[in-house]
Amino acid sequence: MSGPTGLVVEGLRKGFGGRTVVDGVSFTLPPGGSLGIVGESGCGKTTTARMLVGLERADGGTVHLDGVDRSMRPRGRAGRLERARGIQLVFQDPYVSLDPRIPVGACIEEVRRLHFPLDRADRRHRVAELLDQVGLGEREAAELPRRLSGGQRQRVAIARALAAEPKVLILDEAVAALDVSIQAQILDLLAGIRRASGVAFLFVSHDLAVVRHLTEEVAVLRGGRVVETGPTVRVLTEPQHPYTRLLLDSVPRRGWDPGRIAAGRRAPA
Amino acid sequence: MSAVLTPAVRRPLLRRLRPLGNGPLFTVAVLVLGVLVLVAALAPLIAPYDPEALDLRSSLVGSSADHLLGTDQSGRDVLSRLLYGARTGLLGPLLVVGLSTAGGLLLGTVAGWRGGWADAVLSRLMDLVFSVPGLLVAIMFVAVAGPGLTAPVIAMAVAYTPYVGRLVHGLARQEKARPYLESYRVQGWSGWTICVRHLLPNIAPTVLAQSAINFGYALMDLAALSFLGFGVQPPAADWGAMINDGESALQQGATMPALAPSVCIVLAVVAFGIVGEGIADRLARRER
Ligand SMILES: Nc1ncnc2c1ncn2[C@@H]1O[C@H](COP(=O)(O)OP(=O)(O)O)[C@@H](O)[C@H]1O
Ligand SMILES: [Mg+2]
Repeated sequence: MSGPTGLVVEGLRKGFGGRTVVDGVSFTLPPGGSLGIVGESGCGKTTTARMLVGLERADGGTVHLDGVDRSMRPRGRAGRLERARGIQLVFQDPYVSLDPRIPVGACIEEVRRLHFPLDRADRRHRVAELLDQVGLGEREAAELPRRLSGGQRQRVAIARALAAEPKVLILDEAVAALDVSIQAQILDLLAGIRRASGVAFLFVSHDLAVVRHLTEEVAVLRGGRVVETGPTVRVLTEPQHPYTRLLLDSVPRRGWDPGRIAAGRRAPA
Repeated sequence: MSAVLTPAVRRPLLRRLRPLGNGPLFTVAVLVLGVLVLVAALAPLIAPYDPEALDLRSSLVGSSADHLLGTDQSGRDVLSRLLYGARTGLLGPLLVVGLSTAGGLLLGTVAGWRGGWADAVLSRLMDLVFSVPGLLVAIMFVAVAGPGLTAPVIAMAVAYTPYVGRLVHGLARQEKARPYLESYRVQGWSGWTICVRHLLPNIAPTVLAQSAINFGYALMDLAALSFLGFGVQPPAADWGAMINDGESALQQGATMPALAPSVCIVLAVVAFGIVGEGIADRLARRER
C-alpha cells in the first residue's frame, strides 16, 4: 500500500420494496479532495450518502476508506468511533437535525468528549475554536437551536460534524433549506474550511451552481446510476452525456428556454 | 421549506405542564389528586380514630359529630378507614404504574429501536400478554401466592406493560428516524446511550400522559380485586374491601360504609383520567 487511498465506492446498490434506488454507484474521492454528486431530486443522492455513514445498509457493493472496508456494521465501541471519525454527515435540514433540548455549544462538546476523551483540559477551547471556525461565538453557544436562525443552525451542524475530525465530510444539500443570501455565506464558509482543514468534501446537491463553487470533481447521478464523472469545470462546460446537458440547461440564466428543456426532458427517457 | 418543529418539544417538565391549567376541569382534577396524596401522606395525623379499632357497641352508627361518616358494621369509623384507604389506594397503582412503565419502556424501546427479529419477538410477546385479561391473571396469581397487595400488583403490572410498551414502540420507531437522533448515530454513540440520554427524555411526556391514565385504571382494577376478596384483606383499610364489607350494611339500610369508598374510587379514577388526557391533548396540539 502506498499512502491513504481515500474513499473508494464500488457498485453500491440499494432498493426499497423491490424498487432499485441506487443502482451500482461507483466513485472515488481522494484524501482531501472534493467531489460533487449532482442529480435531480429522487435520483438516490441522499440514500447514497446515508449508506456511506451507515444509516442505511447497502444491498450490494463496497465502500473502502483508506483501504478499510466499511461495508460491515462495526462491532464494539472502538470500531464505532473509528468509523465515525472516517465520515461525518451534515444533514439537509438544520431545523430538524439538532437536538432541540441541548444548547448548541454543549452538543459540539459532547462530540469532543466522545471522540477525544483525553484532552479534557482544552476541550472548551477546542469547542470555541470549532464554533469560531463557522463564525459563531459564545453567545450562540449557550442558546438552544430554536433560538438560532437556519443559517446559524447549519453552521452549528457543520461545526458538530467537524468536531469528530473526520477524513470525509458529506454535505447533503447542506444549503438547500436556507435563503439564497444565506446559501452564499455558507458556501464561502465551506470553501474556507476546505482550504484550512484538508478534510475531503463529498458535496451532494441538485444544484450545479452550488457544486461549481466547491468541488474539483463531479459525478452526475440519474435514476441511481452515475452517468458522467470528471473534473467539475470540464463536465460543466463540455458535458458528454445528454442528461448532464439537460441539467445544465435547467439552470436559469441568459437565453434560458424552459420550453426546449421540457421537450428535451421528454425525449431521452 | 417550513421551519418544522419536531413533535416532542423539549422544555423543562414543569414549564410544559403549567399551561395545562387553562381548563377548569383539569385544575379540579389536579386538586383532587393533590388532596388524595396529602390525605394518604397525613392519614395517621388527620384520622380521628384507629381505622381497624373494633367497637361492636357502636355498629352502624349514622353520621354524627363523633363519626362524621358514621361507622361500619364492626363499629369502625368510616372516615378514618377512608383516609387510611387512600394509602393502599395509591400505593398499589403507584407500584403497578411504576413497574409497567419501566417494563414498557424497556420492551418498547428495544423493539422499536432494534427492529428486525427483536421487534418481531417482543411485539408478539406484548400481543400475547395484551390478549389475556389482566384480572384473570391476577386471580390466578392470588390462587398461587395468596391474597394481599403483592400478587395483584405484580399481575396488574404485567397486564399493563403492553399498553405502555406498544406506545413506546411506536414513539421509538418514529423518533429513531428523526435526523437529530440519526446524527447521534453518525457521531458514533452506542444505541444504548442514544436511547437513554436522548430518546427517553424526548418521549417521556407522552409516556407520562399514558401512565397517568393507567394509574386510574390500575386503581379501579385493584379495588375490584379487593372487592372480590383477592386483594388487601380486612380488617386493613382498603376502599375495595370496604365496599365488600359495606354490602351487608346496605342490607341493613346503611349506605355510607359502601357509598363513601365507591365515591372515592370514582373520583380518583376520573381525576387521573382527566389529568392524563389533558397532558396527552396538550402534547397532541403541540405536535401540529
Ligand atoms: N426509507 C425509504 N423507503 C422507501 N423509499 C425511499 C426511502 N428513502 C428514499 N426512498 C426513495 O428513494 C428514492 C431516492 O431518494 P433519495 O435518495 O432521497 O433521493 P435524492 O436525495 O437524490 O433526492 C426516492 O424515490 C425516495 O422516495
Ligand atoms: Mg436528498
